[in-house]
Amino acid sequence: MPEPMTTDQAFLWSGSCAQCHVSGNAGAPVSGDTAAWQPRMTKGRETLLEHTIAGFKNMPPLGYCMACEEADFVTMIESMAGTRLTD
Amino acid sequence: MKLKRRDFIAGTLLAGVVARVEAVAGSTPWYNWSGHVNANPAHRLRPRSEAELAQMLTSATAPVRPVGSGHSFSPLVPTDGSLVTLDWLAGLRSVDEENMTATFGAGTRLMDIGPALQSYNQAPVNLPDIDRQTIAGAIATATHGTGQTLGGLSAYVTALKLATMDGEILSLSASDSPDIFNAARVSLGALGVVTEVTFQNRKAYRLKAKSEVITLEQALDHFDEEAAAHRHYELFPFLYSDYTIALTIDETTGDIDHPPLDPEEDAQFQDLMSLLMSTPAIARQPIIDAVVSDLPTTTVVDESYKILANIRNTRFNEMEYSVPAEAGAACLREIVRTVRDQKLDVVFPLEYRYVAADNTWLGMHSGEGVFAAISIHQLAGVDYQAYFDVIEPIFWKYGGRPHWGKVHSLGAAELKHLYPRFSDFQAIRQQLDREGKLLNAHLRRVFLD
Repeated sequence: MPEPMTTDQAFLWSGSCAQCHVSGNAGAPVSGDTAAWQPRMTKGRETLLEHTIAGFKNMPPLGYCMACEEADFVTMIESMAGTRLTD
Repeated sequence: MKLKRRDFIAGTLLAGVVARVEAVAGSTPWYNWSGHVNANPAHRLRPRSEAELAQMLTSATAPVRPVGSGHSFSPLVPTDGSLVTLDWLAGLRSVDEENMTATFGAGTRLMDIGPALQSYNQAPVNLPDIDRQTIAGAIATATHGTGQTLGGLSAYVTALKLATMDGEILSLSASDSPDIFNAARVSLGALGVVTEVTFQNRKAYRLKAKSEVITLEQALDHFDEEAAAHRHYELFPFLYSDYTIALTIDETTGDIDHPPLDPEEDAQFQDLMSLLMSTPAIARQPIIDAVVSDLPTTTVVDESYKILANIRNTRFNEMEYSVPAEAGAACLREIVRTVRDQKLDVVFPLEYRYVAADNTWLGMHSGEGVFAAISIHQLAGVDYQAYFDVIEPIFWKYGGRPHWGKVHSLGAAELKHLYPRFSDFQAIRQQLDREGKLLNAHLRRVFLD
């Protein structure tokens, strides 16, 4: 099981990723929808980090989280997907 | 194809390709919203309070650059030193119900202002049209909405707090250090880090927004009377077409009627943009005219802040200049003509609107009268340089001032002639940042001859 977000990470997530990953805006996989996340997670940690940081399709670079570092994004992705990222 | 105007405005991203910056060990790269501007900051500062920020600034590794949402297209933010984030300096802090003002943490996103004020029956007087920007980033660059009687966001700032490189927190207003206040209201993050902003608001209100397609010539022939007759009036001219979307917004007491964007229409928009991108520029007009002329007239009603500012899903790069309103139509016509004559490869519509003057020192609309703000865009991931290089001299010809947050090529040598208070701003900048620790490469070009 993935590590839960820290209080700080949850705060940052609510102000950034949650804007799309709760409502599903612009095709974003909804947080907790493991079926929607599964094909994304198969791309692996490096690819998903690259997409998150550099932007991918409708997702802007860093998902609007200017304060987030790579470790934060890993935890957020795993929390939304409900599973660990693989290398 | 039943697209609506909103689809062209909110849109769907084409698959732009952004090369990832090679990460520096221990550093998470930073990119702006379009992905075109990037950096590898050695340090990401995450202050949780003004006091913590002030302490951090005294020892931060230069260049020290504050960041909001990363929505600027100009390289105001890049640093290999210290990136200062404002996420914890956000939220509604206080409300003055008698005077209709409210104070927010500077890291508050514009999308959060309206809902926070709703329960106090207050609303922003006006808003820029992208809602994900932070207050600090928006006022730093004189970001603005539309309306010949309405100023940019900085015009409604009545007070602010500024953390300086010496570790002080300055409380500024028109009565408390007015010179620094008027400089700080539009300051590109070059005086310090804005931590808190107080806005003059008004009683909450609703707006009705009508979008329709008309010919550009018809729109420009009647622009002044329409801009005078309506609270907001804005055009989105299509290139390689005779048509423009005309957006008219007025106050209303009507019931809310604002359906969400249809994802299927989003997909249709993406298909259209893909088709246009694959069609030679000179052959696009029949396609654009056929689609655009078929767009229905639509009307939506909602709380003011939900009409004025929205999310943008289509990422792009943008150049915007503001020219005196009396020169606006001629400037716009020359841009449209030049794109066609030179067969420039662009599918993104232009934007044309009036903005009222303000008394900031470095706002694009500082001074008197009314300005015409004209924007050109290129899809993110598509090289914009050739297009922007051809159009930018047209803006200069009509006395334009570049939007601080958008692509431009001007430096101190040109900018000092565009702003009567430029040297006064410089004096304050040098006083507050003696060592120039807030200057990155772009700001050195903007401020240093």
